[in-house]
Amino acid sequence: MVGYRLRLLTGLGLFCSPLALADPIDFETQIFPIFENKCFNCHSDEKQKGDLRLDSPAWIQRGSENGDVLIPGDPDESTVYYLTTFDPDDPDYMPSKGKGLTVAEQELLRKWIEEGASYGDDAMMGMGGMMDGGMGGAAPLPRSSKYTEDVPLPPASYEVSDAVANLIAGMEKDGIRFDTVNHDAEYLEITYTYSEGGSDVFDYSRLESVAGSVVKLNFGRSPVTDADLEGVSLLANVTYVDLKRTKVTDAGVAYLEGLEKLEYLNLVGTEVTDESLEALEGLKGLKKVYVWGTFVTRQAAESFEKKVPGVEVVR
Amino acid sequence: MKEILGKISDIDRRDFLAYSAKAFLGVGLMPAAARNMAFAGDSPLRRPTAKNVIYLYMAGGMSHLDTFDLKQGTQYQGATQAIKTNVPGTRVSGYLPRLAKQMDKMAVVNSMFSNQGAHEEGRYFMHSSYTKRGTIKHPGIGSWLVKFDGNRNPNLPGVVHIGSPNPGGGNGFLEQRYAPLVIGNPEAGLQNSKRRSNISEGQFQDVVSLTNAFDAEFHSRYKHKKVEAYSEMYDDALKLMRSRDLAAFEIDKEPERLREAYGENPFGQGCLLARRLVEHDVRFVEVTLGGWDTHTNNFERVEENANVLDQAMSMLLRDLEKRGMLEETMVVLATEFGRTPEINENDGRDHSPTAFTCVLAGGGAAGGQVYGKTDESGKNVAEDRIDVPDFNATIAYALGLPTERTIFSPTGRPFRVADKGRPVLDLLA
Repeated sequence: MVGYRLRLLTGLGLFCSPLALADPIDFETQIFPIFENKCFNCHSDEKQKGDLRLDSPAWIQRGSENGDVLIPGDPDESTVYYLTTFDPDDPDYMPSKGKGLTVAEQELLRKWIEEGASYGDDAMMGMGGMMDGGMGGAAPLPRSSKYTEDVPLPPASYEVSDAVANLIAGMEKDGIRFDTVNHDAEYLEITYTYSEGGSDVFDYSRLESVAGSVVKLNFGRSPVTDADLEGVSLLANVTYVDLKRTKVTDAGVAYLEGLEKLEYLNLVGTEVTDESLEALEGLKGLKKVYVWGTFVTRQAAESFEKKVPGVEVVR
Repeated sequence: MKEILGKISDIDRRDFLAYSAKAFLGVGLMPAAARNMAFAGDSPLRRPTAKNVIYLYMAGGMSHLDTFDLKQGTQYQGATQAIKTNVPGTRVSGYLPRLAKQMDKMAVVNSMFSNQGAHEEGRYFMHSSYTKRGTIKHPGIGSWLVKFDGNRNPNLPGVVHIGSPNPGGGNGFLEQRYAPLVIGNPEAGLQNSKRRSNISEGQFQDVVSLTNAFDAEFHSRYKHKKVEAYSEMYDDALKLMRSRDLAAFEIDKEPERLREAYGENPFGQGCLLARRLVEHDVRFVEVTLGGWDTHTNNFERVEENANVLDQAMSMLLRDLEKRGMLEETMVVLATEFGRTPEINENDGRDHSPTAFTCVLAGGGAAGGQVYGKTDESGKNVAEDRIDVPDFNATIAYALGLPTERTIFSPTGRPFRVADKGRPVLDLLA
């Protein structure tokens, strides 16, 4: 307790020893207890008013339903601080129930944010470990039992870039659909299934501005023809091509030879033959080729699996 | 690390807007600079990979003790025998010989827990993660999915329920367009979806435009959500009637041999229809198999039911795999509760919600594992309990739904996709 007081006072700058001044405010021993005593009734594992939890650095950084609650270095922009300084009669005053923060606690919080709102090295290590699914290195100090190891999940991202948004406006009228892959805005899936076809629907140069982001091409059940696949290798990062139930033949599959990163190819229900597999022998990254309902023979499938290690031909 | 975490919250803050943008405009419009390049590549966290769900619902309460959580050598087992699976060290019921050979695809959860011991309430809880109450209806996962991530097929409904007049999960307080389409008999397909043969397209068009003309004034005067929902329903019906995707409902287009392989019963054919629908980008298809309420004659009845389930689900998994669809399609086996270890005087088992079994396969599920343990009798969970909301949060997470986001009902009450459930990441690969 004596140590706590001392640190509190140094935090306020009332002690002038340069050694004491250099000692920054410690999150776990000085800030966390304030949150625990004054905020956890509404902002921890039990309740999350306003979608806010304050019971670990990861949750504090995640913010509330209104966004960030803490801007390191800027207490006056940090709701986690300034709402506690309002008049207790103000409707926005925090905590809305129970005892408010003392002036000393407010000051400590302000100072901690001014100093950059550091959580200390251990906390950072702990968080890194938690993100891997375990604790990376044990914390030297016994932690409050309220300190949570739950971590916020990565948000599903349905957003797309400007470049894509502009493209979509132009191409959706042709029935071409865009989507992010696994909710990761970096990767795009383009679906031609609901397009009626037409002169420039399969003109891949239209995709030039996002070509590097396109990883999945969905042609399944679309009117795509062999000729429409010419030029597809412009989309060099494509790993997934679905051609199931299309009119594509060996001649069309041959154009895929240029997709060096291809991992997944679905040819189910097309009229391709063993020739298609031969054309793909150079694609060493292939993992799955689906040829059920085609003319591909078992011998060709087996010999292909020998030539391209790691691939499985499903038939 | 701090840098990265800072950016997480950065994205998090914006995606509320992105949801709205996608929901209302059909597209997100976030500037490229706002996105975080480092995060996507470096993150050790698992990304959701499922796109669609086929949800097999065992109505009545599937006996976990006679399907996936056997208690061999105890007084509780009765006539059921365990058999080996294709994953060493795991066993399932002898009533499931074909699924035993697909164990490598399945994550079997033997530690499910519910506090709802009546059918209707249990079913409601399982589908919505909320307990049933009089003042509000909660949406099922399918409706949440379409609400957040949209229909992939512009011509077909996003959610379809097969084989039950009383589906457990509806659109709840979400708009009518997220409601499931209900199909009673899979073999009959979609009823009344064709123009009557004695009416030409021209005549039909006349009727439709006349209706629209009559309605126009009303619609402009009463711009109410429910009025709009009504006309939306007509628009969707017309789109569907004219769509080539209507063929998705016609299982008679499938080869006879395949239809037999799924089982010549409504559930088997329902699973086949589900596969066809998912192939046509329907997002969430639920198929119900009833008859699991085995208060009497448990062992014979479970054997019969399990045979239907075994044939259909194992064929479904194989069929999806062959077609290259298993990676993106999560197959869920669920029920409202399990059954008592004690065998009653009618050779039956009664309701027991404190421990039961559900299964995940495909769509990023980590197959080949049995998760959680029950006690010696199978009455209670002993290890790694998964509450119903946690299970639903796992499915939702696999689909990329925001399980931590609070959504407000039209009356301003806060809800989440799976209530307070947290995804169990061990079940996902």
